[in-house]
Amino acid sequence: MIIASASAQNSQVLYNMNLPQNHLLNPALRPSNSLYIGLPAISGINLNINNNFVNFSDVFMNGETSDSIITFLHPENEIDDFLAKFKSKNSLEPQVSVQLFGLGFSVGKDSYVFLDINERVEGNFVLPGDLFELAFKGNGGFVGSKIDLSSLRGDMKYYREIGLGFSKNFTNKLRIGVKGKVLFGIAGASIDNNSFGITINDDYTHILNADMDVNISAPLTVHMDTDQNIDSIVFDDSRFESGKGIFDFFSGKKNMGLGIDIGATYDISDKIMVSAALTDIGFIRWKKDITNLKAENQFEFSGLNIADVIDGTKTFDELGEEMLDSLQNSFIVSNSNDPFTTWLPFGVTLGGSYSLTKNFSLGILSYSRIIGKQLRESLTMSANVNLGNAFSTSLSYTMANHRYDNLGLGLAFRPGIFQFYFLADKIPIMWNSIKSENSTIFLPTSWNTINLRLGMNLTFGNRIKKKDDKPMVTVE
Amino acid sequence: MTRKAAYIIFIVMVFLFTGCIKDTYDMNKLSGKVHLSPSLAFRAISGDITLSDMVKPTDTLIYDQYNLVKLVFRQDSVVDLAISDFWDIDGFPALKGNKKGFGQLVATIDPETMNFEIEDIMSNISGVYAIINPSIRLYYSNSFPFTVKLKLDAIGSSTDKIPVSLDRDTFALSFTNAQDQPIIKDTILIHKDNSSLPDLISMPPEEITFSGSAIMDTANIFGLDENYMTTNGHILGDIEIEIPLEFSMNMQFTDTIDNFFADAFDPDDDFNWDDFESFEMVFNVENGFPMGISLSMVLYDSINTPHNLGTVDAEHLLDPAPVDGEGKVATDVFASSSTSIVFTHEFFNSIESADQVILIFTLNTTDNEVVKIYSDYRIKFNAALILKSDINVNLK
Repeated sequence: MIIASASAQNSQVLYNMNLPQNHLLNPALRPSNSLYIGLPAISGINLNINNNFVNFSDVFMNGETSDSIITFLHPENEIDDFLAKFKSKNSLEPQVSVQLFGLGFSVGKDSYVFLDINERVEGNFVLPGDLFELAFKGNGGFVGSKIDLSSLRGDMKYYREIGLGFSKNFTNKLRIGVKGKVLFGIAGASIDNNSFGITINDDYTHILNADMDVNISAPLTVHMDTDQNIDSIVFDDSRFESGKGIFDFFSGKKNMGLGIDIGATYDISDKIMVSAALTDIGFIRWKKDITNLKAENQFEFSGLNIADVIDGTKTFDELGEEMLDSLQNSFIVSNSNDPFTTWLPFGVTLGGSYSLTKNFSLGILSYSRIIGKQLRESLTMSANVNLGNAFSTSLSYTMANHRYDNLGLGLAFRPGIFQFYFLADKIPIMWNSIKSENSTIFLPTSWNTINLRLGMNLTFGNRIKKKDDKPMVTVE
Repeated sequence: MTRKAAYIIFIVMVFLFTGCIKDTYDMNKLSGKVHLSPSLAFRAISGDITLSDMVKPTDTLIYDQYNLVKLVFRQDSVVDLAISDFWDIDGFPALKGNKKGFGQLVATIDPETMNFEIEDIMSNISGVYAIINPSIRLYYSNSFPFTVKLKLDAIGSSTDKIPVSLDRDTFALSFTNAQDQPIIKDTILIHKDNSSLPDLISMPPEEITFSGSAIMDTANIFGLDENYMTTNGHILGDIEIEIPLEFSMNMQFTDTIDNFFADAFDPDDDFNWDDFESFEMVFNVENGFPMGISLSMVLYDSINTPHNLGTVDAEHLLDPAPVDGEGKVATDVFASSSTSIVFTHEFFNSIESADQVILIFTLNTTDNEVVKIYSDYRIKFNAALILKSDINVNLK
């Protein structure tokens, strides 16, 4: 299990807010409204970008000797200072989720049924630190050691999720929710790295070994030459020339999968509640437009053997070509079309809240995200205000990504049947002003975490009503 | 209280949203200067080769049955003497019937020169070297039925050196009874024990001029009724100089050539010598030859107050392999050496100022003693390149 120092944030702020979307984090949670409808795209756009290695100020900085802006490659800047910011494993996780449709309604006294259709694009890339050092400083520093690229991996999925869930009080303290999901994979790619590295011996010989699988589900055609080397990769854009073709592609019905979310809340007392959830336990079986590429072998380069040049049987050019052919041929690239399975990165949530008043509570939330062999962890503490249906806000502090300056905010207010919300797990406290030609934009100084969720729901009713019974008997 | 808390949180957030501007970046002033200094190290070449892999035998360079390498130079008809060279041919009819003979007849061998075309190389060589065991074979045929004594002279000459003579004593050619065998073929060997041939060959001579004389004693030793000197009498001799590579050497080869570094990059290329901080070549050699090589390379400005601008040394490029008492390297015996040739930034900076490069090779045999060269000697080597660049570009 690799514990990666990257953010595992997933709208932690949302968890303690009175929003219909909080069931995405724990299916046992439900909002105070009786009915909500989520409209396509309007109801929910979620953007997460997490990286653990670079910020704007790492790339651009003010020059020391002039008023110019310099890059990290400028002669004034030490490249070693830039490379020191990289870890042994550097991760980049872009995620976008758009809610196509949402529906939730209360049934009976305490049951809640919900349906949502989400379009999700998720990526996860791990780049070895040695890769950056190799790119910027060359291989000279690795003589006598190994360039370890074994952590290089990548995964990208574009899929549609249709979930139907239900939650209910099973006792007066325990509430359990579950959501089953059908997944439709539209396009996906993954790089499975079993081993990848370059050993540079003290005598400067290089040994390259690789054992990698690349699985792709996309309208691509890989052309191989007679030596079983990749000749070209062509995107089949003819697929999108007809309505049927477009529909077939975006339906994802050939790449299906299943998923489940399970959650529970338990009221220890009137003021204390604990919760737990397992989310995104699921897989997609990719069967359509499959390309499998496997490269496995070892190649040793110990210089061009010029004995043949000396005895006149070959030229240097011929030797060079032989070496390149050898390199190509030493890695067997097999091209097949076997279905493959990808697992969703599932999350484990543990939470607790303490209600100081009916509307004000303090919360603590642990969220662990497991992506393959990587574990990413975050801890959030929040102060939450929920004024019935009308207003909900949360101020949070999250420790994640080896950073301790993640201040988050959630705002939701409901004028009438429209509920607007905006959430950010990390509010940029410090900003950079970027002037370019005739415009100025503001960017957060820290790019390690960008987490935004916003939208508008249609909400109806309020299941939490004050009793206005008057006493039958008054005592004077 | 809840409302107050809500208001406080809201105000705090507004404040945070309006936030603090930490830095301002005016991208209109973005500098395009880029500096990269990657270091690349890789083994470039390797090899495991014998002398016979490198040099194929020819008419001049041969490998004998023991694989000893020899140089062979051949000149035909160095000695070409007919009766007319000894005697006025018009008087020939008067010779017949004379049983007593005609006394001593003398002929002169016309000078014949072998030029080895080594003038250019020899002008660059200094030091001490000695060829140990050269030989000259005179392959001759003789159809005179008389004793013929040959005085063969060979003078080796070389620019700025005192000529060296062969110093071979007169020797007698084989001859035969003309009635039974009209012609005889034989060989005369000239070597270190009967001449000054090693000194001559060790000059080394740019050319050898062969000349001499022949004295024919026409006494009728066969007791025949009539003499048999005919117009067909002929002595024909070919010279073959054989030089086994058995030598001692401690010499320097120096040459001054145009500065080839200056032409390495085209002025229009993106790269030039300024983009290199250092360039190192690491040679690892297992040398099975009994010869060592050192190299020195000097950048030289011959125009402006002539002086050296930079030097690169490789003192032990090859170390000579140990030899036995016969001067031979035993099988699988090697001398190991590891040498770095480093070109520094200062050297690169001097390239444009230098118009010439002086190359100085030092070659020596094992312990400067006599060694023998065999075609199965082996050398194993590899060379790595370590390049540290210093690239500065401006992208704007």
